[in-house]
Amino acid sequence: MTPLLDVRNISKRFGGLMALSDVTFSVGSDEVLGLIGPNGAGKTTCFNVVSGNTSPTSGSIRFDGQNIVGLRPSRIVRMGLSRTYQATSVFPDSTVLENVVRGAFTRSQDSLAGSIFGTGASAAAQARDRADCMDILEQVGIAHVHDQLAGALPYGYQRRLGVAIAFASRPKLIMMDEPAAGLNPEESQAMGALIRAMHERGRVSVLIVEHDMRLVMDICHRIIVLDHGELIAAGSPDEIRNDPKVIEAYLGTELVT
Amino acid sequence: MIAKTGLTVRLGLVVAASIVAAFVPDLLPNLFYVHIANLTLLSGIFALSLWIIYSVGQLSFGHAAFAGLGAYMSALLAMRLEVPPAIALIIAALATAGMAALLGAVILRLRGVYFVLVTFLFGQMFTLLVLNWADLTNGANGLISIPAIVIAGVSFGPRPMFFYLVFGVFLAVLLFTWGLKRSTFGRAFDSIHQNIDLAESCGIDTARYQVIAFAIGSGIAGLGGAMMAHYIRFVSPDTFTFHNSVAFITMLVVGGRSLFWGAMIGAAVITPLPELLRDFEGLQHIIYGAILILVLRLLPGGLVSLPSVLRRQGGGQ
Repeated sequence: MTPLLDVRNISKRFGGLMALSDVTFSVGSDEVLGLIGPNGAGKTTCFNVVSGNTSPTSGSIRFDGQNIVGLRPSRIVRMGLSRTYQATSVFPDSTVLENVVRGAFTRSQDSLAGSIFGTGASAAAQARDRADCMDILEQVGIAHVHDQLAGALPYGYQRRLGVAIAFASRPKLIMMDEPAAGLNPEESQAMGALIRAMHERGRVSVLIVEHDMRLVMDICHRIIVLDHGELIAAGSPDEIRNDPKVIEAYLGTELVT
Repeated sequence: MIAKTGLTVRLGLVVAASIVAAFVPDLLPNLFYVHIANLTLLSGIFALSLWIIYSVGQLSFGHAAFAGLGAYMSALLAMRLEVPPAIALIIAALATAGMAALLGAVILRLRGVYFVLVTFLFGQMFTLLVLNWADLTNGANGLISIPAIVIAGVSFGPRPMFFYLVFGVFLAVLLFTWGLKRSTFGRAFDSIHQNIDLAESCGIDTARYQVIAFAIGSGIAGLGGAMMAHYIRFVSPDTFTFHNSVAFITMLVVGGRSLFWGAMIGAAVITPLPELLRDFEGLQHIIYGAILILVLRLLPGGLVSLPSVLRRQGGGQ
């Protein structure tokens, strides 16, 4: 069976810097794959290349059997690959519920003409969208603040809202860029439980970049490791934990010098 | 809640406004005031259309150039090809929208001040083109005796008659903008305005929607410009300049940018101003600038935010 996301030999060069060189990996359907590596290893670049925010210098990326290199990010989202951002990213001046409704924008059955004239069909479609998005807010545990402005939410809630927005498009694969960044240990653990629950309920694959090793080891089926733009290891959490190359990348040379 | 305001309520408002408008030309003391009312409604059309572009987070400093484009196209169609003005102005509006779409597809990838600069340059290029392409545009002398709009044998040349026409068009633009804001497009526009990267990650094709907003806004400006040309019966390179673009932006800021009808209020406040400031000829632009700075400093939300600001102040005492 072909994997859901198939990344082959991608490289990305910024001037003289090879941010990614010859990276190959894949994400199967119903899999949670962790992507780890020290700071500056190229993890976020890897994300941006896959999500279409920047294009790779070379290599191929196939999602769900189709080439996605060169497509606009919105097009890739509509194919079923959505992402969250490292920093909190919400629509600050809209309510929490409206934020999620926007995440579900491409799924909405509301029509342009209907919504301009305010027809009954349009109102019904909007009510369905809202009900559906309230369900998602329940799942991420912030339904009780649905009518507050997103910009006024506490940080931990904003992070959850970011997940809810990405989830609202009903993706086949969701890429999460450090979902636990800035969270305290308990919040981080709760975020791990949330990701696992969404994965299990929604049958959605997850590609996750994270520095919190406990979280990664906990929820990932498989882990790949980047260092200086190169893939240095791939395997189960246990294999990665004991891989000498990974230990060196994290602790090695820098301590010596 | 505005989102729940049904069709009936909106129709009621339209009827009420129309009834009031029907008496306006008769109630005003003389034709000069009718003229000011007409100019104000035209400004309202320009400011509302600029708001549509602003609603995707872009500020056009070349809005007057698109109005001028519509004005020249419609005037030339009517004068050289003898197209009836009522049809000429629709063709001009659509052509202006088309040109904005072409330009927008190239320049809308710029953001912030870079977009502002390019639209400013477009405005300057338009002025230079009109000045120098004298065979077509009559250069600095401008086009004179442009025919008035005639629909079904009724001439909308006289000021009171034009008032009814421009009021109808203004109302149509207002209702259209209102509908657009509430629509799926409005949701996409506002998503882009608030957070363009996240909007793209929501599957919203931000480039496409920005071009659509730019084309709609500029097209309506073209329509307003064309109507103005057939009303004043004269258009020259000085009719639509950079100063007009600044005036439209001033209306948006003074009225309030967050709500589309802020543009309307801004137009109503700013348009009659030159007439009140007749004695200060030459100082007008300085006064515009001072108003802009004062509003931004003291009332950043514009005049539409005044009630809520006053309420907050009152509550604090």
